[in-house]
Amino acid sequence: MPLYNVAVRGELTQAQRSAVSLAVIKAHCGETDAPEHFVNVYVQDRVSLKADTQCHVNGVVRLREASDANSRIASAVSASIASLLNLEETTIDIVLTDIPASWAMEGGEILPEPGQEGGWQGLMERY
Amino acid sequence: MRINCMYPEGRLSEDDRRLFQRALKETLEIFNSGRSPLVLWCRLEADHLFRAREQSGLVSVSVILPDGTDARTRTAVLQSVNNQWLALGHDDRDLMVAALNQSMFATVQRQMLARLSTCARIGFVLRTLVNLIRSRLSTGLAEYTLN
Repeated sequence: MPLYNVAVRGELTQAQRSAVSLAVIKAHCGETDAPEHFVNVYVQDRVSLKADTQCHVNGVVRLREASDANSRIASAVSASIASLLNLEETTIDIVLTDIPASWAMEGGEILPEPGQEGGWQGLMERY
Repeated sequence: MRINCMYPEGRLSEDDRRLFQRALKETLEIFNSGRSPLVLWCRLEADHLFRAREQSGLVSVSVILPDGTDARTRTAVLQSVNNQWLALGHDDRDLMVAALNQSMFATVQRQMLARLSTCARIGFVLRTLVNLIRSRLSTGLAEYTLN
């Protein structure tokens, strides 16, 4: 967690898909305390998106206290993808759904709450 | 209760999926008033899933629970799924489990459909239904793809 699904209208090479995932990871981690290792990105290309949309991002992220947290993450992810794929930001749709950290488990551990960075240590030691 | 398992193509064999499905159904029916939960498999394109900076073989299991499910049940469900994965000899570093509310999951599903053009949306729904029925009849595993 988080888990992002990035869908683009055009066709991407494997290197471009990897670059898109890295852009999302860096944008997400730049705005949050999550270690890169736990950011998952699925990149779909050649998707018949609705008119005027070149890229759609659907992300499930941990619920954060700050009310503007998701909009900051969304802006960072959108800007990052726009820059990488040379797209207008207005053609990128991004939707984030947040869930309480306690609703998800990775590596056999319940995820730590955002801001509790120490909570990642036990998990990170397993990877 | 419904269980949605996403996996990259080639990551789990048909036998792996069948065994995990059976374990999930048997284990989680106690959280579903004794009824066997429905398990759906979503096959992702190989090499399109990334974790950190590398291609990933992560398997993601979402258990869809009634809204308002208490925290203790949710934690027990997460632990049960993880335990079944381990019992089959898999590594739980390759597993992400989420216990989601029914309404929340429905919203995400609607968003995923709404991103598509009208024609693509109709095609996706029809293709998914056909794939689910066909795979269920031929292998016992109800499978679909996001493409």
